[in-house]
Amino acid sequence: MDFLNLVGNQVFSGLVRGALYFLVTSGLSLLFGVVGVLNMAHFSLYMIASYVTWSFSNLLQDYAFSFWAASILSALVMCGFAWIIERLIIKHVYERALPDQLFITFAMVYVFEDLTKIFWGSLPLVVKKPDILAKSLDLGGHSFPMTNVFVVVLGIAIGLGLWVLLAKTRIGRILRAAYSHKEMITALGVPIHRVYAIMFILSVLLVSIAGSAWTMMGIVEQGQGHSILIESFCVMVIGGMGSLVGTALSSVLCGMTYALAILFIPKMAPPLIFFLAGVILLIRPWGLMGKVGRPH
Amino acid sequence: MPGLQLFDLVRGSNWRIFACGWFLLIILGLLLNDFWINIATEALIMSLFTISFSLLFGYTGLLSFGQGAFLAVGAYGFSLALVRFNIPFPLCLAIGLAASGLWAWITGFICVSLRGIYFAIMTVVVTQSTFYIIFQWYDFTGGDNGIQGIFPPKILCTPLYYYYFTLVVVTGAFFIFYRIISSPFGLSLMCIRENATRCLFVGVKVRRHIHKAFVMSGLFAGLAGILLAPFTRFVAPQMADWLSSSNPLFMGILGGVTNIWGPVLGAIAWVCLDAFVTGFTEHWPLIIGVILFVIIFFMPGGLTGLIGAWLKKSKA
Repeated sequence: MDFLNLVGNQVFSGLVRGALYFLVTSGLSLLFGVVGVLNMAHFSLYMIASYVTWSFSNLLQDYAFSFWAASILSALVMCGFAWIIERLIIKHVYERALPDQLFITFAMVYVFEDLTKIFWGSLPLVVKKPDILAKSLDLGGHSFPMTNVFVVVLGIAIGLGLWVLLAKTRIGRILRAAYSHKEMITALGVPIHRVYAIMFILSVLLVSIAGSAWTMMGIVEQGQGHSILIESFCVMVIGGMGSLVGTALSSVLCGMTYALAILFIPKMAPPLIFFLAGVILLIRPWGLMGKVGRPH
Repeated sequence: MPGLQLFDLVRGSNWRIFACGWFLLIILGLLLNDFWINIATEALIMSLFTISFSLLFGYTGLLSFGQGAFLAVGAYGFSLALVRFNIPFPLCLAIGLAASGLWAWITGFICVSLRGIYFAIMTVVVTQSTFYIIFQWYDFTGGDNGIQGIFPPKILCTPLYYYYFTLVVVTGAFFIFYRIISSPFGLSLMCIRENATRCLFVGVKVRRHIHKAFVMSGLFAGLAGILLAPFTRFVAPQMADWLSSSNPLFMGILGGVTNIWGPVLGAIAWVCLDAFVTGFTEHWPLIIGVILFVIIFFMPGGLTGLIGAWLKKSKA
């Protein structure tokens, strides 16, 4: 019974991890699928979103809703920021060769990380939790921290929301068409660069939500993005680049793998995801749900 | 992309540049103080590290984010042999080199079947896995503590002598690198870079060639690691992570990856810039980022590209 309890707890923590992976990776993966740019700076934007959330919640600290307001405001600010970067830099990247794209977004990593150091200093920061997230949820003798429940719910909600957006709306159809039939929709007169811009802003919106959610789970600090970067790449590769369902699937898979590995083979837990990604790259380079034979 | 003519800044001038550069580096050892000697040593080691990146990216067209893995394996193989097992110095060099070559050979099987972005991601996976293996294998590698107290033989302990030692080794390696890329094998690597499918039709064994190039590049990186370990007297698992692996990428781009002088020039510029900039500001990453932007957008060939264009203009 005790053991089952332990496993149950680990399964839940795997879900939490999976939800976080999904929030961070979905934007990156969709951006790569639609636009064909692997944005290394995605994780710096993740960190910046956390810092911006901290700033707003600090500004509004007298109010009970400070965190929620801060999250929404930071999402807006990040979207604006994304629009500016898109106009200034990313716009020039679309047509370039793959290595150039990587180098440019890599240069952005360095610039962004240093700028956050200038703006927010290098001390770790903590965002005040709203009352409802400070409690924990009791379910059949188990007690789950509300923050974790919140992240899981958020992950599922965002996943469903994205699915509806992609499957049911006009812009979603265009985005999917840009993923699969680029020449065709260009020929149909869809302004492809505007689609790219929208996709970029959408990806930053997603990562900004992830950054805000992270402030409830841990501290905001320099190098926060680095710790998740490699795992997130692995999640993306395993799921298949550009596939929403694949990313969701592999997020849960990787989260679970990690959480259960911690229980049984603690030393091997972090590299296990890499090995998983390595195996997937060898036998199915396009990932679990990716499109076979994509030229990238 | 032009192939052979990019070897030379000015056609047929490689030997002259080589001789002048070597002479200059020897003289420099006598003129500089210890601080700048150390900077020069670091620049030499880093140029070797960049050569390993350039062989894969510049000549074979494979973007590797994982050179740090082989740097670390070389450095660890060398240091473990020296510190733990008290094996004599020259033998340690061979052990470190063998370790990095072996590791590149093994991981090569995984990497060489992939192209483009998948190759890049796979090398990240390899380098991070290497990092974790070193990090977790506490009993053998010392884990997070790394290995301290790596001293070369007494005679090499002074910065000046170690500088000359590095100079000799790096020169040798550079010469080998030159021979590799100007050989038929090097030509077929460039052919793979331009068009792998056509290469296959012509009869080049693409996979095997890439695997060979991968091992060679691993050996160069391992040699850089071996030189780095007694230079810093210390190795840490962080040598293998993806940030360390991105250093040769910057140096390569700064110098220009398709020119034989690019890695050397890039590493020298980079290390000197680092020493100069960190003297008055801590915002070195910001400066790197901006430099990288400028290079990619405005001077695609890096420093050697710039010099080449300037020479061409002054000739015309």
